[in-house]
This record gives sequence, C-alpha cells and structure tokens, in this order.
Amino acid sequence: MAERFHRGGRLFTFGNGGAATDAQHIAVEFVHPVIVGKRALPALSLTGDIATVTGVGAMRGFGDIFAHQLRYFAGADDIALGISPDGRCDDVLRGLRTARELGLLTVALLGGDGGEIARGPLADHAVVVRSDDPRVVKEVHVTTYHVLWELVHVFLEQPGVLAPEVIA
Amino acid sequence: MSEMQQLYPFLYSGSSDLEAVMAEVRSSTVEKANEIVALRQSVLAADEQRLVACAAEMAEAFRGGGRLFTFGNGGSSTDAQDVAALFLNPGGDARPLPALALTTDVAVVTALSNDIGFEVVFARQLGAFGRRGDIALGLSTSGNSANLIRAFEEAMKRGMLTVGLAGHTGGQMAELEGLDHLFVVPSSSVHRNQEAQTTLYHVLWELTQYAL
Repeated sequence: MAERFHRGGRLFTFGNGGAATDAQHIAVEFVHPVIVGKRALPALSLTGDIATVTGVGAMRGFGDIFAHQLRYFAGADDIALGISPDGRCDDVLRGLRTARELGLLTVALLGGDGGEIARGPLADHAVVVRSDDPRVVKEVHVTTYHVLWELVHVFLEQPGVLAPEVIA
Repeated sequence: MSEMQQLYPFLYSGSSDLEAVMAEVRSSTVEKANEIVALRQSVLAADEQRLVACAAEMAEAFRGGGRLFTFGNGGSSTDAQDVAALFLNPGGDARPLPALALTTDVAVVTALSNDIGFEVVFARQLGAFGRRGDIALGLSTSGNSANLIRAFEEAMKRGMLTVGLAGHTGGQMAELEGLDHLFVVPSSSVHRNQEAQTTLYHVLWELTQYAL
C-alpha cells in the first residue's frame, strides 16, 4: 500500500451497512491523520456519495455500486480495500474483481470463513477474522485498519524498503 | 520525538534493513493487539454495572416510544452511523429500533455550519427532532468537541436520556452537569479509544436488546 501511495496511487474503500461506516472511517484516517505531522494521503470511501450509490443502484443494480465507481474513477496505480464481515457481499466481491481487472492492489477485510471473497483470487491481501459474530469481526477490523494506517506511514518514511522486489 | 518515532524508534536510526523493520513492526503490532485486549478488560471491570443500568434505561426509553439520535466528529461520526445502523437494522432475530445518525445529511450539516457555525450542527437537529423520552448518544475520543457539548446541553434541556462515550480523561464531557451516563475509555491513544468504544456500543446494543 505504501508503495502505491508513493507512486501517487489513491485508496478506495467500500463495504455495506456497518462496514460502510468502516470504509468511511478508513478514508478519514488517511486523509486527516490523527498524528500531527503525518502526510495526508488520498483516500475516498465509495459509500459516501448517496446520489451515486442510489443512482447506480437504481440504474444498474445494487451489486454494481462499487464496481461502477472503480471502473470510471480508479486507475492501475490505486488501491481497492473492500470490507465484508462474512466474505459474501456481492457488491464488495464485484468491486474487488473489477479492481483486480484494472490492475489495482486489492485488499479485503473479511470475517467468518472468508466466504466467496477469500476463495476467489480477488484479493492480493485478505485478512480474515475467524468469528461468526459480525460485531466481534468489526472490532478486530477496527484495530486492523488502525494498524494498517500506521504501518503505511512507517513504510512511506522508509523509501529504502519500498522497492518492488523488496516488497514482493 | 514524535509519537511515530516513539512507536518505531528503529526506523529513525537511519538503517533500512528490511528484516529489522519487519521485526520491529511485528512486535509493535502484537503490542497494540495486547493493549486493546487489556483496555477492554479494564473498561469491563470499571463499567460493567453501569453499562447494564444504561441499557435498561435505553430499553425503557424505546418501550415508551423514544428514538435514538447519535452524533460524533470524524472517525466518531462513522461510529455514530454504525450505532444508528445497528439499532435500526440489526439483522437476524434482533428487534429493529428507531435510530438516526445526525451526521449523514450533508445538506443539513453544511447549512447549519455555513449559516450559524459548526458547534450547532447536532444541537439544532436535536432541537428539531428531540422530544422528552428520546435518547441522545454522542461519541468523542477527547470529550472536548464543542458541538457535542452543545448537543448534550440541548438534549438535557429537552428531557432526553443522555449517553456519552469519551476517551482519555473524559474532557469537558466529564464536567457536564446532568449527563445521565458517561463511559470513559482510559487511554490516550485515539485509535485504542475508538476500538474500545466500538465494543462499548456493541455491548450497549446487546444489553438493550436483552432488556427488551
């Protein structure tokens, strides 16, 4: 993720219900860091524009709300981060699939057994919280993305470890 | 030294040896995971009975036809929305309850901010919607957000049940006279605070469902 940001990439986040609020929380962490002096990084939650979400949903079906936005707004250098507490959200799955086709780095925060999303080759990085309680899954997700945010900055400040062959 | 330097002293020593960096971030991540578990345990030890009492009063308010209004800024605004979504549309066999986050209508939020000031964005909405018997639930990591303080003052004036989630020392929220319930997460880390608050409101929701 740090490598993508380093090259000018942007982060797109998405999820349904409670996970939509996590998507927005992640975006604000990156855009407006809580630690003074940290760089603002470009991040946008695809759940925030209610005109787009309801518009795409009504015209193209709810399953396309994230994929559509990625198709027309994202580029190959960007990052897609989808959140699905049971790994079975169709729109999140389709968002990740589209992102992968476009060449984005794909990250998934999942729960339960990881569902379809963990099984398909959709996410470059999948974090699966092995609990069937969506509340417990969310609580672990919050810590996970707080740590992810912090680690992105750690690596951004270490250009020496950002070379692609090192990251791989 | 910045907070990031304190957390990752190695990274500022000038070396870029990947293995050492990875070892450092691995141990700091484990430390954070342990920290949040310990924090949740200390919140439970301190607030268990108060959580049960708060949920009983929230259930009573819902039983009387009350509605829940939630609010917060930044990351806490997303928690406010999560709380409202959880009460209104919990899924499974849980009972849906009337709840609204005061952070989501951007026309209202920008109109109030532009015309009057950001400190009234929640208070004015409670002025319009709030009735005796409703519930006002606000989340802040510092406890010092001016718009939360104003909202709680408005809610108390209207006879609403008031519930606050704050962090660190509780800030100005801890000094508010008449706040019915205040839960303070005793950590100076904004992130650990939000994580523990997530558990706090999940528990409040579960206990409210149970009481109903």
